[in-house]
Amino acid sequence: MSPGNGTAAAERVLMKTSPLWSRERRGPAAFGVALVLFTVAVLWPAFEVAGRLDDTATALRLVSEQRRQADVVAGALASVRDRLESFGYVDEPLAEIRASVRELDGLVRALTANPATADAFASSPVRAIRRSQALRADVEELSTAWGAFRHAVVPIAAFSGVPYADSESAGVRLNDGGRLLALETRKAIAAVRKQGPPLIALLGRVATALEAESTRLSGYLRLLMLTALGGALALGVGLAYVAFARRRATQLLAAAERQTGDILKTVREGLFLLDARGRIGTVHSASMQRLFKRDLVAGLQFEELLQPLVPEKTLHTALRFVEVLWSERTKENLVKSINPLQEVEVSFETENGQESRWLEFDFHRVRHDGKLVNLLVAVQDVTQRVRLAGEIALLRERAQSQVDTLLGVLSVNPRQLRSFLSDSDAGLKMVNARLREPARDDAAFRQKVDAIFRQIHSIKGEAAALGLSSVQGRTHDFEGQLKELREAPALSGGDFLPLTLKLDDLFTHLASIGELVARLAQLQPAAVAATDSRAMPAGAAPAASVSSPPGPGQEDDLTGTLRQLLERIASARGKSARLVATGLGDIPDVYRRAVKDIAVQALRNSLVHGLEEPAARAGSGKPGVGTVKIDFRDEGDSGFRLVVEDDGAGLNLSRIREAAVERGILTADAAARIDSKQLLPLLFRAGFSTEQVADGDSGRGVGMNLVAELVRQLRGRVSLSSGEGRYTRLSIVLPAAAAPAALAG
Amino acid sequence: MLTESEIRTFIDGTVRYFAVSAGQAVEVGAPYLVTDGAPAAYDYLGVITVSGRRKGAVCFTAPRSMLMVLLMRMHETDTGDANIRDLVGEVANTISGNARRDFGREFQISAPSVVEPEGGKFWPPVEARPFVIPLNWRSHSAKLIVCLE
Repeated sequence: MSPGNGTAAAERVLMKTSPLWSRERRGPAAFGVALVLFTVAVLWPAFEVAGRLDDTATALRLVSEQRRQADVVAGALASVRDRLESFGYVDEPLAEIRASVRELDGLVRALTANPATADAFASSPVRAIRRSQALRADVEELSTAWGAFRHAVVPIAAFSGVPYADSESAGVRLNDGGRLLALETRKAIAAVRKQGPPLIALLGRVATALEAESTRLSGYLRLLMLTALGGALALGVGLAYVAFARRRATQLLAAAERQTGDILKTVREGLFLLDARGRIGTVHSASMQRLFKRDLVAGLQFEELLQPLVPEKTLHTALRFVEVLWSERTKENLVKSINPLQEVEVSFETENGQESRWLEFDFHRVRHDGKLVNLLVAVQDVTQRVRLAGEIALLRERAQSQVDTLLGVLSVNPRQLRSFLSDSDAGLKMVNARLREPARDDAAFRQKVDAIFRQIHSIKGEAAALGLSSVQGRTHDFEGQLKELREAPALSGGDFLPLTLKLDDLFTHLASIGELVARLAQLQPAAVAATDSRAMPAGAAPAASVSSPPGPGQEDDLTGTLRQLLERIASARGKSARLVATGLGDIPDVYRRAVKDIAVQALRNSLVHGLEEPAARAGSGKPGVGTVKIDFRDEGDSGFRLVVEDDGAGLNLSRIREAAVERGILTADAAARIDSKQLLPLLFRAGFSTEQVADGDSGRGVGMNLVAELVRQLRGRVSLSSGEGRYTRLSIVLPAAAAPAALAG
Repeated sequence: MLTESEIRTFIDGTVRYFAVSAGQAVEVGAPYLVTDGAPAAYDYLGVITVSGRRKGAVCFTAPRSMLMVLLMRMHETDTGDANIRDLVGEVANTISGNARRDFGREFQISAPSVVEPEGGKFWPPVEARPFVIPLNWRSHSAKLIVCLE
């Protein structure tokens, strides 16, 4: 699984669990709200109605109980009247009247309490009456009727004592109180007959109204109870659904957790969350233990996780990067490219020593409701990929280098190439020998630099002549390093280390050319037989093919090499030139390499400094194509003479004077005073050049120094002459019998 | 291909040892290559092997005479073979420590071992071209040989 896939999977898992949690939370909350609404909408009104029903029932019971009191009073009054007439005992009917008056008083008081002062604790009948305007009117009427009724009855009820007088003379007769009682009783009977029926009717009306209210309330209450039953059923269903949903959610959550666990257990990437304090979350993939070789990862600080694995600088940069990720202003995708842990090498102490691996850390922001809450970190072991990429890059580089080299090699005459490889190998060994020579002071180190410079310049010259750009480039870089050493204020042995490294690279490169040539030779087996392996550098195989020595009219190798060099430099510098070479096929072996080096350097000088561009030549009345003549001849006892002459502009003496002043070799006065005979030898000094900028063909002041050194080693003589606007001639005389020992150096 | 900084790390380790332990700087000569055969060794060889990004060996080799003088400079009166071998091991150990510090975990570097040169030469475990860094200390010469591929 790729890190991207792994991360996405983890994100999906996390995303999926969120709604489950939300739904589970929403269920009970909705149930609670429904319960409250049910209570408020159904149960509370039912409670209220039940209260009203109770009030109404109480009032109705009270009214019904007192309805007969008017009849009781009427009967009692009749009984009083009758007993007074028969001088009977009146206390009993009087007590009934008093009781009935008390009952009815209580009833009217109960029904007519002042609503202004009545409160929640008012009596039930009052609450029942107060709720109905019609009832309130009936009760007011009842109160009035009772007032009139009561007014007639109260004198009777108020009577106390014995209404009779008993004497011997008169016998039993009504006393004054008795007579008054009898009178009042008759009046009361008349009043009750008039006031009684309306009072009874009113009591009946109130009772009927209360009965109706009671019936209405009962119906309402039943309705409410039915509604409550329905609500309770609905709540029950809701509760069952919530329970079901919750159970389902729990199952889904458990399944999601199981899947997450399976993913985290199986995924090869290390997955974990980092909080804002840089702490690793408690849940992480099992591979974390394998990737980081530690058991306890949960709860660790990210810094603690990395600290033993990466260098301090990387750790510091990584922690800074994580800080940047927490900034809301940072664009996540933009900063990914500067992730210092994109491919980081980590190292573990193992029983077998240290083990290195490459890990890739990928950071993703985790948001809840748009707020950044965590960083999801995905870690992958990319050791194989990194190693493979390194190997591929190396192979590609080698392949490219081999192709370049192959193209160069294919364009070179095999014999020239063989000669070049052999000479270069010897030259590099000479450089190594120079490096190895003991030296402990600055002067000795500088001699070492000059000597190495000449050797490398010689190799570079021939490589340039053959068009072996890979070698030419390397030797040019080598010269650049030598130039730095030459310009350093003081030298020590350690300063030569870069040279040794470049020398190693050159050895390796030349060997690879040799191997390449050997492979080519396998394609041309016939040519191999003709190959002289002794001429090859150490470790190198024979050249691809070998031409026969040049026959009459055929061009010798050196001439061919020089012609290639001429064509390449002339083309690069926009010049037209031709080579006229004579005698180069007759050079004695002992001088062959030296003459080749001298001829190469002299030819380069002629092409770079001597010959003019075609337009300039035309302006001077010269042919557009310049000529460089190289002549080698045996002069018998006088030795051998090599002359390199061009028909160019001649030496620019004023520029040589300027260069001498610029390099501090001469003062301006001295430069102005000296003549050309004194001036020209400066051209043979190491590092002297009239060019400001070095390129592949000139500018480092080595070529003429190499010529002078070779001539010195061969115990020859060198002279330089020039005619302004006409020619430059380098003439070298070599002794007839060269001393082999002199050639070693 | 070896880099300059890699070789300098080994050179610096050696220079550091002489500067700290012998109290006298060692002079580094111009490094050169051994193009044919194995590099010549002096009487004692302290070798550390390297694995990881590079493979091969680094060795410090010095003549007995120089090591004896070095021991005496360190006020060590016992200049017997065992002590000399310990000294060579210490130099190699310092080189190794320096390399561990500089290279971190890129290289895995073994503990040093002191061996006798076979046939007067150091035979590297890999085929890379050895770099020889001459070391001059007082009138004595030693070498650091770096052979890594």
